[in-house]
Amino acid sequence: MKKPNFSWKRVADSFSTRSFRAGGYTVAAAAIVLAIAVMVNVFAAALPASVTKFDTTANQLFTLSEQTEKLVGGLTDEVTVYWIVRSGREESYLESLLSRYQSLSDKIRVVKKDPDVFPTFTQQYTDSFTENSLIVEAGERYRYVDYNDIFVMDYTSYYYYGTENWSFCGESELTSAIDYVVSENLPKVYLLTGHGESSLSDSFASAVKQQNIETAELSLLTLESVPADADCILINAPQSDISLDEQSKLRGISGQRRQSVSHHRPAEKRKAFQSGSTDGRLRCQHCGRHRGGERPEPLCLGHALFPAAGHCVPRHHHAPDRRRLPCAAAHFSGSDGGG
Amino acid sequence: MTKNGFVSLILAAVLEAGLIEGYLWDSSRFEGLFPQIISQLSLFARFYTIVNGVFDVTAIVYYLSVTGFFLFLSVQSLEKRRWSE
Repeated sequence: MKKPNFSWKRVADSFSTRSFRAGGYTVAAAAIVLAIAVMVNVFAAALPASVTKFDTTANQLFTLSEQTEKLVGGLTDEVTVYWIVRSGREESYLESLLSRYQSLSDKIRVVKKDPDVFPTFTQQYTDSFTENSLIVEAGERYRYVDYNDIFVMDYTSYYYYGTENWSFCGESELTSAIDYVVSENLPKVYLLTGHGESSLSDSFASAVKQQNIETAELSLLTLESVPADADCILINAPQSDISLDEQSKLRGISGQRRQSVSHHRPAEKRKAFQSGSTDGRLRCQHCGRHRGGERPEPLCLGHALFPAAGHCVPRHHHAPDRRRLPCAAAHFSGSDGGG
Repeated sequence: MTKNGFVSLILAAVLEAGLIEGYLWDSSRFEGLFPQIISQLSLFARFYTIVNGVFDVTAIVYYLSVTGFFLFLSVQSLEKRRWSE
């Protein structure tokens, strides 16, 4: 039986052979090259997204609109965006969107909040939450933006054709939320009640919410006059007549402020309006903008609520343009929806 | 690569202390760190970004550096033939 001829001397000698020196040099050189490669990549990753990422999609799916650039670029207050997501479950579309917002302004701070680590964090903002949702906060004001408002699935096409069509509304939702939290005075719309008025349709209500218009119900039976903070009174398809008393109260609004619009329009007008649009879609009579929603109304929301304004934008404060941003339509594969 | 075991022990202790210090300072930075590093190395994740229509320069830099690094290793393994017995 052969004895293993092990000795410390041989081990020590092996460190000074020619092949060890050459091998050692190779390992050191490889380590240096690897370190340089890692540094170059870290440097490239640290560059702002505007320099490194170029949008080549046809409908500029990954580019922020001019309105967003103006609003976010002109921010003077700190805005914190809390991203409610577990580690490793980050939605990549949302991640790139947030990084593009951050590259627009250093006032935007994105903080990831892991609901497993901070289970009580969302309770001060919302009762329930979905993963990959956002909470936008500035000072006292905040808004919760749900995942299902950011990624909107077209259920009609899902049930009829079985295809999952997802729209990514991240930009319009996030910009609207930022505008909301930094605005001091939001336009207020009162909805007249007491005459069997119909409630706002879902699409109309969500459009109102996205334009950051506050709504409140108004019952003129109990009030002396129309509240002073009413920017607009919406009389939505009343079933019974408005009493003389209420009429005088409504007429009591000073001439400049009297801009109340009836939401109820005769059927012939609707038809004429519908046939007037060339591509079958509904357009605003004033600005030609497509009307959202399923109800054939001749005016887009801004014009319906504020007809005296020459455009769709109800009022200006520091927000340059409060039009509703379009949702970028995208086809997502069904599996990467996260949560 | 050091020939002195004691030096390597000290070096390891210092680096380990730095790691523990960092963990005590902000433990949330260590959340999912390993999967993050692994996913950063993924060749396909960066490619899907380009497939989605975003020309990402950082992905190009990554591909070039991976190419360069492995070419360097290939040259080194050819060099090895000169001195290996």
